[in-house]
Amino acid sequence: MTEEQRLAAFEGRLARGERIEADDWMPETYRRQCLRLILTHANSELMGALPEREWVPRAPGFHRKLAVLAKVQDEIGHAQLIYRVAEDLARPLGMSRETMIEDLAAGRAKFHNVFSYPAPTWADVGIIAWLVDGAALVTQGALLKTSYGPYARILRRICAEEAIHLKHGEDIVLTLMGGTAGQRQMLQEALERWWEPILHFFGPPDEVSPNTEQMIRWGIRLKSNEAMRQEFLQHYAPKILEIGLVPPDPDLSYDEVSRTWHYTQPDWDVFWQVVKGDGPKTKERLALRRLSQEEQAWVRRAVLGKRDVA
Amino acid sequence: MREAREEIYEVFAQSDRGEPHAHVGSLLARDADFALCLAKELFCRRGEAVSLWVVPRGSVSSTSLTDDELLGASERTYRLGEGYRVTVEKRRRLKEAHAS
Repeated sequence: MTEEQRLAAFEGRLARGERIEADDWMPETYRRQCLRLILTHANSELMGALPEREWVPRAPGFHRKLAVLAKVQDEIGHAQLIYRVAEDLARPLGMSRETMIEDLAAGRAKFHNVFSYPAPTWADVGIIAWLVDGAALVTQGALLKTSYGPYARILRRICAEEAIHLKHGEDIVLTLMGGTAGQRQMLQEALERWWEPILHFFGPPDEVSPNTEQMIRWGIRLKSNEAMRQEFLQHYAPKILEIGLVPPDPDLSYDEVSRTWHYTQPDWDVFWQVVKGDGPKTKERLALRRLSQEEQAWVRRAVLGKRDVA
Repeated sequence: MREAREEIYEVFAQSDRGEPHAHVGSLLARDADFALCLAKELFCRRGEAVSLWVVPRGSVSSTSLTDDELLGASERTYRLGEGYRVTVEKRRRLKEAHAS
């Protein structure tokens, strides 16, 4: 078969709604695009565990402590599943899991903007678990039908677990909202801190890069950034407003005619600055990531039966 | 102690007694014991399975993407129940003939 025939057969499979598997022939661009998307997700799970971990010792009460601990464990578990899928894609490109982990620790890899921000109060933990996980669930839910089979399959498990985090987050938020005036104020401030990073999370609205167009054509991604942001607002804005929280955007309103939410565009320069490695906590979290890696290196050595060289 | 290399294990989980073991994913481990240990951590944090199998990927043989025997290149309706829908009509006719 010539390259053109292979490509035609590949696109024919996609057109019939078939999923692509790890060992199937695929164009190198498809492989690289899938890998980029999947690696960003894997890195984000690993980085997402870090702000969460800071709250395990400080969570109020035993039940909350266990729930936060379980969430940290879930994120690490998700990272393991996703890196495994990434490895199979990356092998023909000569890239191993070690390289992926090293790239992340060295600040060479991409991860979601939201993990570059501080979580200074318990209310932040609630807002993160409810709204950041809620935003992630919108984007991951949109990927459940991705054309790359191994990723679609593990996403089912991941989405089910993210949905549990979201319930825990909503419970934290509702509990605080039903608490003292001080607790409500703390929650309102947390929402104000997280509003812009969450709108950023879905990416810029004017994504017309040929790259994105091809990813959608090949079914790697299925929805545009703006469609996902609207889905998020559709679902969460009413829930935020009805409990008396006020999003920090006086222009936020629902347009009955176009059936979309109007919102003030966040500052996209800030977004680019953060994803390029210059967020308020990016360097600190990457340093923490490197520290975890170094501190736990002995476990890996023990598991692999390597001897410590004195 | 000899230095071990990690290899890929495919993981199969049984959701309940009496159900089949179904493929749930894969993981990296140095041997089957570690693979089972990690499989519990990765796939069963919420009691999703009552039994797990781990199989080194190299031990799995599989068919090709274009296997004609699987993809049904030949006609096989004679093996399927839907070929016999005509029985309703045949029975009706016989019933009518019998009654008259």
